Amino acid sequence: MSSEALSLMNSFSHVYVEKNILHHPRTERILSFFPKAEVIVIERYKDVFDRSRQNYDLQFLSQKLILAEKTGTFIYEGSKACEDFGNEWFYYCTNALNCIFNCEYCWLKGMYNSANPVIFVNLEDFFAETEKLLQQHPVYLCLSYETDLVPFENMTGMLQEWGEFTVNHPDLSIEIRTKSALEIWDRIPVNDRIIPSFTLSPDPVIERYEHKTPSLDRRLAAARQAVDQGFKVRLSFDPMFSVSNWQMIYAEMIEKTMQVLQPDNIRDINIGTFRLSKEYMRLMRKRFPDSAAVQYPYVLKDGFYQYPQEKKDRMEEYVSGVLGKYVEKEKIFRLEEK
Amino acid sequence: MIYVFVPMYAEAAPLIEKLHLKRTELFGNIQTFSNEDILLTICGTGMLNAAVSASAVLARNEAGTQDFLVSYGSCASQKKKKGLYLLHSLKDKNTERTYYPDILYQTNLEEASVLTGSGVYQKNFSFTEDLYDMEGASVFHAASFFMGPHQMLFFRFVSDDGEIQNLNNEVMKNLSAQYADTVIEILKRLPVSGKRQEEVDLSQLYPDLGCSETMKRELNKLIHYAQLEKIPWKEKITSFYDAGILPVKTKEEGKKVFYELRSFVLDE
Ligand code: SF4
Repeated sequence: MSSEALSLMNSFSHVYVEKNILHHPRTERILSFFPKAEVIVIERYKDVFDRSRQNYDLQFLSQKLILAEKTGTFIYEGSKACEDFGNEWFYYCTNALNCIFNCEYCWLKGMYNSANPVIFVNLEDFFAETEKLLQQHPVYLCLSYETDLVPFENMTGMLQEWGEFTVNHPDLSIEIRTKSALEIWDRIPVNDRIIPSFTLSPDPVIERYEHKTPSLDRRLAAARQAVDQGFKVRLSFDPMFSVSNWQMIYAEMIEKTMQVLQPDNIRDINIGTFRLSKEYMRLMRKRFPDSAAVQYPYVLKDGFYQYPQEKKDRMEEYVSGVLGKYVEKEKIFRLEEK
Repeated sequence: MIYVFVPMYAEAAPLIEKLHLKRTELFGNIQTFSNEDILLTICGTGMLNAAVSASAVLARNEAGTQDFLVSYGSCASQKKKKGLYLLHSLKDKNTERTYYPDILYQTNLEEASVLTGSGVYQKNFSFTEDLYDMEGASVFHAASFFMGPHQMLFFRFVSDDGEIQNLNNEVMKNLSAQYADTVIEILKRLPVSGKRQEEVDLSQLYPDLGCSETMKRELNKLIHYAQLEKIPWKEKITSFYDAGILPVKTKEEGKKVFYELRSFVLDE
C-alpha cells in the first residue's frame, strides 16, 4: 500500500439539507454559494450531526455544511461563565452550531460529536421568539454563541437582517462576537445597540491554539472597518493563555490594538484566562490527547478547569493594568470581579 | 487493516484475483480472503447475512480507529445508468433509518443514495433513492458498533434495472471486473492514520522522586503537557541528577523537587 494517499475533499463539497427547508429562500441563497456541491437531502439534521464515533479532527479538514430548521428553544439564558457586561437580561441564541475556525480550546468540541457546521435557516422564528421576550423586558442577546457567525455572513446575510431587526426594536441590544477578518461592517446598520465584538489574541497564541483563524493584524483591520463605519467596538481578551513570555506578548498586542483602533472607539473590554467546564474538559482531554491547550494541568474550581487562582489573578491583573493605561477602569470587565 | 465486504463470490472474484488475496480458513460459515493489508469477506446476500458477517469479522479482528471498511457489490437502479457509484446515504427500507458515511476523500466517482431492502428488486415497488441493494444499510449499522462514519466507504455498480433474468455469476463477475481496478486504486490510497505523540517512560523517575500514586498521575499529566509544548523537561531532570537532588531520600524532598519541576514546566 504505497501509492499516494487520497486527497481530502474541499470543505463544503457536500451540503446536507433538511427536506422541510429545501425550498426556503435562505436555503436557496446559501446553496447558490456552492453551485458544485453535492446536495444531500436529509430528514433531520441530527441524523448527520449526531452520528456516533465521528472524527472531529478529520472532519475539520473537510467540513460539510448542514442546513436545518431550528425547533424547540430559540433563545437561551446566558451562561454564568460568560461576561454579561452588566446586562440584567442576558440571553444568547444559536443561529448556527459549530464554526469554520478550529480553536483547540473551543468548548464546542466538548459539546458536539461533529465538526460540521449547522446553519438554521428559519431566522423568522428566532425573530418571533425575540419579540415575545421583548414584550416582557429588554433583551441583551449574544448572536455568535455556539459558532462564529461572521464568516458565514456572505452566504447567509443573517447578521444584516439581525441588525435591521434590532434597529426596529428599541429594547433589543445584540452582540456579534467574532475572530473573523471578514469586513462585513459596512452592511450592518450602525446603532449603539449593535455591538461588534472582536476576540483578540497575540499571534503566538493564534498560531498555537486558534487554528484557521486570522492573524491579529487581520482581525484588527476588520475591527477598524467597524470603527470607520461609526461603531464603538467591544474587545475580548478572553481566553488568555499562559504561554512563555506572556507578559510581553500580551502587552505588545494591547499596544498594537490601541494604535490601530484608538481608545476612544472602544466601547468596553472583557478579559479572562482560559476556563472550561468539568464535563467538556473531560471529553476534550479524551478526544484531543495531543492538544496542549486542554492537556495543561489546570485546577478544578467551582466546576470549571482553570489556571490556579494566583496565576489567573496575576495574568488578569497584569493585562487589566496595561489596558488601564489606555481606557477607563469602568470599561474593563473581569468575570471574577462580578 | 481494510475490511472489504462483498455479498457474492462472483462480485468479489476480480478483487481477489487482482489483489492476490489468499483464501483463509473458514470462520463459522464465513469465507474470507486476505493479504497483509486487506481482509475480504464474502458476506452473503441480504441484510441479515451482511450484518452478521460484518459484525462477526469486525469483532473477531478487533477492528477499531485505525481501520477502514469498504462495502462493494452490485445494485439495481431505474435512475442511474450502468457505472460505479460511491454511496453518500443508505436507507434501510424496513426501519426507514438512513445512514450517512462521511464523504471525505476525492474518489472522482459519481455519488448516489441507496435503499437497502430484504428482497430482490423486480420492478415490484417504487422508491426515490438512486439505487437499490440488499446489504448496504445493514453493513453500515453493524460496522457502526466498531467504526466511525469517516472509516466507511460504500461502492455499488449497477447490474440491472429490476430485470434479473439474465443475471448469472458469469455476468456479475464480468461486470465487477470492469470496476475492480478503480476500487483497488482507491483501496491502495486510503490514508493510514497519523501517529500519536510517543508515550514517555517515567518508571525510573517515579521511585527516584518518591512518587505516591497521586503524584504519579500528576507527574504523568505534567510531562505529557511538557512534551506537547516541547518544554525541555528532560534537561531539567538531568540537572537534578547532576546536582545530586535526585534520587530523593524522603517523601518531603520528593514533593519539593516535584514542585520545582512543576514551576519550571508551567512557568509559575
Ligand atoms: S472562533 Fe469561537 S466558536 Fe469558532 S472555534 Fe474558535 S472559540 Fe470556537
